Amino acid sequence: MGIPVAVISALPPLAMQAGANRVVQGVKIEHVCGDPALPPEADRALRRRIVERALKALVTAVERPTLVGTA
Amino acid sequence: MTPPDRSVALEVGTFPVERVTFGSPGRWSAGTLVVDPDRITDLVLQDPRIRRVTVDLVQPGDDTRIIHPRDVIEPRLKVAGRGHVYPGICGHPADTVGQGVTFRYEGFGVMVCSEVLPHIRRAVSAATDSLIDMRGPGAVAVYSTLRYVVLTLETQPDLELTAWNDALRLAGHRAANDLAALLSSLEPIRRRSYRLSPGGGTLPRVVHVHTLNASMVPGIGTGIYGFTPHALPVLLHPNEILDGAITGDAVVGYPGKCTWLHVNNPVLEALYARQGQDFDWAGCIIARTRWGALQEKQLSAYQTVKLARMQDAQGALVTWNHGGNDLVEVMLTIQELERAGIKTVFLTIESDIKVVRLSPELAETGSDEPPLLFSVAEADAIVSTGTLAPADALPPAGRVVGGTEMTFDQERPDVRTPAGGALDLEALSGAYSPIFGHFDNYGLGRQSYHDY
Repeated sequence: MGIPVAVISALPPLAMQAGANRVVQGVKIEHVCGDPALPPEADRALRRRIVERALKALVTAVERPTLVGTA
Repeated sequence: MTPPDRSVALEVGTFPVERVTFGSPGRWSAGTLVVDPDRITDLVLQDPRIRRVTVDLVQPGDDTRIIHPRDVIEPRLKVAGRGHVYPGICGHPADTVGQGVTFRYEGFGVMVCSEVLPHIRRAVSAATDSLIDMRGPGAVAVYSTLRYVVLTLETQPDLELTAWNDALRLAGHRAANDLAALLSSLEPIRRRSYRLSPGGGTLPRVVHVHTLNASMVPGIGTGIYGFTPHALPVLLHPNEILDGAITGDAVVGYPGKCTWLHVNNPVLEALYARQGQDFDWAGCIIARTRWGALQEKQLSAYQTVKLARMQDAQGALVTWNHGGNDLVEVMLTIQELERAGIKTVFLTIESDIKVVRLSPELAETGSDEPPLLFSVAEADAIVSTGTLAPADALPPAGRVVGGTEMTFDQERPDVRTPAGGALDLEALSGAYSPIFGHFDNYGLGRQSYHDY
């Protein structure tokens, strides 16, 4: 059993090679969960999409390191 | 009628430096370089951003520890042909270099030392303190084998990052240009001509995929003709690199950006030694690394491979000059090259900074982590240049040049260690080695098992 974990990563191949089971694509290394270049409302929507995808990943059954959802 | 010769040819004239002394006037004769310290001081102080300069001479075997190195510059002089050595920086024009005749000193560099300013230390995590021991167990990197004119610089304290970088670098290049000018009318001890074979024959074609870190901090980092931002790959003739087309900044403590390193990159000599005999060398694809987004890393890798295919490469020697997440695009490049039918060899030091610590026990047995942060199955031919496994304590040094104290923990800049004492690197520095040149991507030092 254990506690499910989802990781939001700018570099999913690295996270998956390190053994993370549920990986969600983040934006980039400097700002993984959002984009300061966007207008505030668009940034807020982007952040929400990423977090919702991570929540969905938490309840997704996986058997090996998996990228959950796509951009 | 024979077609015109459009090949790029560079002749390099070498002046070995076996002794360095102070005197006036400055001159080179039979392996002895005489340096006029007053002349260099006057030159450097022409820049009002520099408040004070101390000029020291340091030689291999000295009981000396150099601290706060910011860059090392090999003085070079364009004596025939277009452009200026180290183009695109310090007011040098951006003309394409790599043709004509260039003179150089061998085994010698102008070293710029300056303790990082407090506000820059806070802003740039990579502006770490480092050291070079000229003898003893810490003298493992190539920088312990050179002779130096060391300029220890005190700048105006409020310079912002790019101005500080410019001031330090300009001081170093002014001194280097002045010393190089001493050679203009002399006859070098040896001359060597560098020219790529024309290709079109039966030899396999090989490209050097020369990946270079670009800084995530705007305005600093390794430059191509002084251009530092992340950009898509570009093809350089190796002679451009020999003329200084790749230059470092004076900020980052990471030695893979050192200016001396790039004109002395052993990869270039090794490829030149065999090209035209074992293979035709198609040049160097410079691919910048440390992109922030995965898609940028992928794009850089894909475009690098496209250039290699357009060069009709059948093999690629892949190098890198950094660590950390840069390895993602390096490995993606190797993967795509192999998928395109281009065989690869990757030259690298083992371990990432967090994987192998300094103590020999840990370096031998390691943690359970792999020696590379990231890898792909296609990277099946890797040449190791060694590990970060020196003695973990350095003995005291009789003389310290470049400053007096060091900060080993960037998070605690108020904790300062007198630089001349014994240094327990494992305790002081943890996973980061403060030895300048220790992360030896090109195999210049004595850190591989072959060397032991």
